Amino acid sequence: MNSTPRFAITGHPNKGKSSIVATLAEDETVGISEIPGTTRDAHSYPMCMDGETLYELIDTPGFQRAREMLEWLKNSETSVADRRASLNRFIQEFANDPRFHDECELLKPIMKGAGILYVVDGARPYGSEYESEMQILQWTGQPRMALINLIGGEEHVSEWRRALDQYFSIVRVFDAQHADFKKRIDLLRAFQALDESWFASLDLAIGVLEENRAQRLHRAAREIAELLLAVMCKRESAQLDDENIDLQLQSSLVSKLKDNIREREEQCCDVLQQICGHTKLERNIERNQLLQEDIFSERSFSLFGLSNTQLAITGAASGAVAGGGLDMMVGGASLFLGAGIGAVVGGVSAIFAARQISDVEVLGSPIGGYELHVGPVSDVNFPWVVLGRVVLFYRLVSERNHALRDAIAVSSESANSFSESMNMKQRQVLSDLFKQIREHQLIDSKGMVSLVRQIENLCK
Amino acid sequence: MPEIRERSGRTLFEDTVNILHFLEADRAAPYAKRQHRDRQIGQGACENILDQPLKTVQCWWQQISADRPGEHNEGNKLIRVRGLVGLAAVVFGLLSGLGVIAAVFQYDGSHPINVVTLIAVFVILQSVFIGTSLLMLLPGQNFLSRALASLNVGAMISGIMHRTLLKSSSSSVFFMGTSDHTQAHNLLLRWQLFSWSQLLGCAFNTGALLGAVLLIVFTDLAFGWSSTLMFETVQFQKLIYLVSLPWAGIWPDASPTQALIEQSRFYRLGAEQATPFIAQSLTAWWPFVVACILSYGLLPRVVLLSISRVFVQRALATLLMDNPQVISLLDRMRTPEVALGSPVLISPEMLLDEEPHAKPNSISGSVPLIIWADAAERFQLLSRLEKDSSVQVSQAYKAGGACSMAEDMETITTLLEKRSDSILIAVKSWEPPLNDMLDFIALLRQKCGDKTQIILFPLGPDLSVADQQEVRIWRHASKRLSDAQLFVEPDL
Repeated sequence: MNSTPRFAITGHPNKGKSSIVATLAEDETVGISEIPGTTRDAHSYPMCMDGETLYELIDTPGFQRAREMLEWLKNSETSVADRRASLNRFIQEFANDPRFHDECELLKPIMKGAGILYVVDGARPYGSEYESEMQILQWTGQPRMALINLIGGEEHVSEWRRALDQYFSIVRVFDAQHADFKKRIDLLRAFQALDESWFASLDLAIGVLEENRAQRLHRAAREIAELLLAVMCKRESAQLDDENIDLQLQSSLVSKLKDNIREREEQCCDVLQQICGHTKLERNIERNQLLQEDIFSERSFSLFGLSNTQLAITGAASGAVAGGGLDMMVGGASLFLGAGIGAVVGGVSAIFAARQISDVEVLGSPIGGYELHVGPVSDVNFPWVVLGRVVLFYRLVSERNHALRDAIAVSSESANSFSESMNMKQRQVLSDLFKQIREHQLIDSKGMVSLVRQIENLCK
Repeated sequence: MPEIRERSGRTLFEDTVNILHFLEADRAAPYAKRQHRDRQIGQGACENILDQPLKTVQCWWQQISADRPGEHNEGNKLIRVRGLVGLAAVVFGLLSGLGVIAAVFQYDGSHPINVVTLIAVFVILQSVFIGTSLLMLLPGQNFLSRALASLNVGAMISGIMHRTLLKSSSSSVFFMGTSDHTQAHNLLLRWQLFSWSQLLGCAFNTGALLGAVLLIVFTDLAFGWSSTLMFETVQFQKLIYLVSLPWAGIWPDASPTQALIEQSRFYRLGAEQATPFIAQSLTAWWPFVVACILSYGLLPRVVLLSISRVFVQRALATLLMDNPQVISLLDRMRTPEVALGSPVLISPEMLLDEEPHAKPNSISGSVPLIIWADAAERFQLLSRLEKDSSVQVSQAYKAGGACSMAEDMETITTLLEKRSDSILIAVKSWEPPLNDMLDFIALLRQKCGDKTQIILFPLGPDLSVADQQEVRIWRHASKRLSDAQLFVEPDL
């Protein structure tokens, strides 16, 4: 037997086979048709690491003439030991017969050694028409697992279990549309039990997938950190004839600055989607209305930014740390007044700074003339808004199941809960990092590492 | 000093510019494509050097640029820009060196050239300039370094070129850092400006030295010393001794003797005509002058230029390796590529909104009913039909599901014994219309003729009304048989 585990996803048409493949293969391109029986050919969905296939899922057509096929098999059977041979004969005989095209397509990978994942819908009652299918699969003698897919509920799960237990060594309930990463890994572990020769490959695959997930998170956090750095340092400039500010030019530079920031955020979201394997999301559905809100709008600032109270508390905490430094320097001789004064100054300045959108200045040099600089955006809340928007977007995309074809649902509460989800320490560390970027227009590599780590924690 | 070149013939500067430029544009490429490409290179040509980040990135670039020859000339452009700024610094330095030496060595025979002026220009001023250059390198952007930066001649030349000749955005961003600063970028800029300043310093001192040698060889010069401050000869001798210390051991002739110092003091007021002996001794200062330009000007500048070149290289490496996109690139090269899913895109078939469908004629008399695959319990279904519809069922039969093909055939034969205008088939609305079922209908049609209307009656679970979407699926499937007398009717 081939040691690379292969699993043929089989079953009645329209019972969620493709959804299961889409979820397990994290492939949003799997065609999930409204019309049953449109999958006419088997399609392979391998999981590869550096080109080496660790396991393979095969989406197969559903049974169309199972009764007739079973009768043919029964008629041609000479003994129980001859059943696999009968199936092979069937494939040979009907390979070019369009009437049994679907049956041949679904049986071929199984007869070549693929394990069977038989999918049924737990929301619908068991029916006698399934029996022929299950008998045929039993005839193959291949390792088999039944998956009760919860497309519309779990009303008939126990009824299905009773039927499936007779034909399958393992029966699992699996919600293809809402299964999270852990449940998918659990399912892969269950596959290991089907055939011990697959254990090592699947074990490696599970390890790789877990590692890959951690890397995705890290890459996404790095991408978000890059975005923050870029938009916080972004500025526009133009040459001036003299040192007087040209208001029209200033206005066009501000617009250009905002457009560039919007474009950069959009670009980051595209990469985040790609990291999560949701490249079609943009084409299929509009990004959620809430996230379509302009980054500079009042609503974005009120939804994703920190409230004045949070800003004041965070600013106060940072100020207190700075003031605390003074106390340490004087060995506490200031009776810890330093921390108190620092907190008040920090808090007030944080609120005050929240009212400015961007810096405008004219830089002159006696040799080179004058330049009008617009930016970077100096609003204290700006990085929080950007961070809130992209982290929320990443959370939604990363948790999104690849079998889903509907729109992302985001509530204002989930946006609001972002700032609430951060604890004081996180807010303070981020606030200090933002301050470093704002003041120096750069961040050192240690700061970058810290920023990425903070974002990783928020994205989890 | 020539640019440090890699074996491939490209400089680190060129590579850095091209790589950063390429990676910025590469952001638009699909992530999976980038991951695949970079991992392939990581596993191929660069496999053995993956633990050496800079070499790995350069190796990667070699592979990328080999596939696109001539496409990436941003680095070349910037090298030309850098070369132009360097050339401007050299020309300006040479000319100013020659100009300064011509001014300082101005000699009309009335008074000797004052060595004190030479010391002021070529020892004290040079040392001050070198000192301020070094001050600019102090870490942090304090007021002093910012003020000195505006006096940096290299920065001034670069600024003029930027605003006049070099308006390309890439050169302005790279050399002037007008936007998107990073710490590594600032460091590179600082060392690059320092390097240009040293280049200018070298050119200035070369010009001065060249001018001095030419004037010494081809004209008749005399050197003496004089100061408004009433220096004692001994004090001046100490000063000369200190200034000559760097070369005293290796070039004794360039260290003026006590006699020369004493003989060469002059006062402009009431100066006497020098005797031939004295005139000859006054020329003996020239080795000292040349040594001053060499030791306090040219050599320190050459050393600083060499150091700055090394630091420019280091800053370039830091700029490259600290770039988040390069870090991501290394990550892609070193991390196994995990691919899930199929490269083949399958477009699913979707239902049209509401497909037009015909209604069956009203059913007259009693009709046979086939319950397909146990769609409903016989008595419950009959009772529902009796209660909710005007349909009268003559006989109910079973087919499909657990029935054999022979039993299906028998059902058809039996029900056709009694002629009827319509045949009703109850089906599970939630189950898809399989070919097994469609085969049965086709066989039934064959047996009953074209006139009999066959009505599929989809039922929901527990005899509930069928879901509209499911009915649409049944109607869509029934069209495959192209049977004008086949209907799907959930509402009898």
